[in-house]
Amino acid sequence: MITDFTQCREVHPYLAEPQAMRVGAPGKCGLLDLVFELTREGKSIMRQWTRHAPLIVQQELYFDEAMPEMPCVYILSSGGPNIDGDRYENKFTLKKGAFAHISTGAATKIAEMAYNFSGLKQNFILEEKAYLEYIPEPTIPCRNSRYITDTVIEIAPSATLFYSEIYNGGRKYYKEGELFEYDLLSICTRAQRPDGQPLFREKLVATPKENPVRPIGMMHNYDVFANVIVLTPEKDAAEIYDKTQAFINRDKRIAAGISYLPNQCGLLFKVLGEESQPVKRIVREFGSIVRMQIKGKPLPKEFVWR
Amino acid sequence: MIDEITRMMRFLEFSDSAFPVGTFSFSNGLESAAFEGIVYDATTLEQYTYTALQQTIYSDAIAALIGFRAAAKRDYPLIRKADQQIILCKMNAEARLMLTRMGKKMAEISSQITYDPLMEKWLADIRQQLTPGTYPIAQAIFFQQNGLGEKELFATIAYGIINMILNAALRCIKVSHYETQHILYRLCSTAHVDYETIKDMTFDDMRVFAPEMDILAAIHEKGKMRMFMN
Repeated sequence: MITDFTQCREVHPYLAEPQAMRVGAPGKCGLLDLVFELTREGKSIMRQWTRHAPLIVQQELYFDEAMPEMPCVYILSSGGPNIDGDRYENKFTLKKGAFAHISTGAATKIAEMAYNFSGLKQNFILEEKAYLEYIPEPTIPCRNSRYITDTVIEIAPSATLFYSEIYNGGRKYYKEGELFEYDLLSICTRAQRPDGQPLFREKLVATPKENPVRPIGMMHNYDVFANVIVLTPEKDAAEIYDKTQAFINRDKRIAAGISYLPNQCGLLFKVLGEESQPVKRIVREFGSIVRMQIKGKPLPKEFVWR
Repeated sequence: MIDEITRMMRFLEFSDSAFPVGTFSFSNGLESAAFEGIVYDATTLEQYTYTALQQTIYSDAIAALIGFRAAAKRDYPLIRKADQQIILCKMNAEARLMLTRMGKKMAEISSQITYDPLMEKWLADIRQQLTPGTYPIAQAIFFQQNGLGEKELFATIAYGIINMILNAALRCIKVSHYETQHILYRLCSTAHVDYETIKDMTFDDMRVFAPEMDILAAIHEKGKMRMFMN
């Protein structure tokens, strides 16, 4: 079950209704329900694409040069940044054997807020031998913003999900610079098997004004943080683990680490950096290792404009 | 009812860093932090220890308090759920290994020194791999059976993580006993505030935020340094 955000303790200080448009007003509740499946000819297509503004997707494209058979979908938002009282919901289903790549057209900005909060609920369903790369652009929580997400993954044992998130500390180069001036960032991701067996639950909560995130062990001197979850069969996880380095590069001020998730369900890869581009590059390199292991093909170079 | 002096003696015994569950074998990633030059003196050590303490309080301690109250009611399914939640929320393999090894050891010691049917069942289920058997839950059952309170359990969990790191620090960082005791004294002085904050929290509230510590643990897992276990 996806959480009712108002029940989450950390958002209790931020339940005041927005003064401009109420929570749930038209245009403030985006919805995507995308279903990918294999055709009789074995082509992976987006069979269903229900969407409510401000969330938009266009017809799937097949532009991945390393995997031209892969449907690629970019999520766009016609509403600009997430503002107070916005609620978004994504549901992505990959039927048996289907595969897809989903990203966003640009960074997700969480705008400065005076009332309430912005929330995103996500539901991923991957059937047997399905494969999904979910690699959105970074999220940027601005000053005084409150953002909460709840992601529920249901995955069959033979399927693979590459799920990445990148969080900037804020608008680093805006005016005098803005880092970790948001009120709340609450990110919950949990997974289970189709029979309901729980696999893991990771809830990351940062409230930098109450509890500074600069101490050693938290963000320390880094400004950007990536969290990548790879749910994949145990044998593939072991191969990916062996091929992935854990390191701290003090000169380039970037670090990455990988560990096994509970219940032999996959891997957790974390990256810390000063800027989003090097972090994105490392996430993509890791994505290439995963794709090579599962599909036998690398991730192509990122477009120069991304 | 247990008398006050015995109760305090039990509290001292079970919160003693020398209690033989293998605490000394783990460093919570400190070995990598020292090698990488991130933790190198008393100031940086205190920050690192503070971070570890916060993660423990908002995950293990919440589950332990729920497990402790469940043990009072002999609510075995809830005890097992608390145990499972700790594992589900523990994102690096090293931490899971640490908590299950120490938890099993605690259950074994408990069954050696006193008899309690709940702990006997707990140990049997750990051995049959029916439950992970994490350290905070073994502590919760043990404290309940020995007449200790939940504040004492909380204090022991918080004290335990601080002391584990500080004891490890004495072996791999240039700090003195004076400095580590000073850090311990300072960090313990705010524990009552943390207890009040988390005492009514539920499994849904269990959370962490320590990406650098996770990366250090991962480096330790993959590395060849072995002063401490992984």
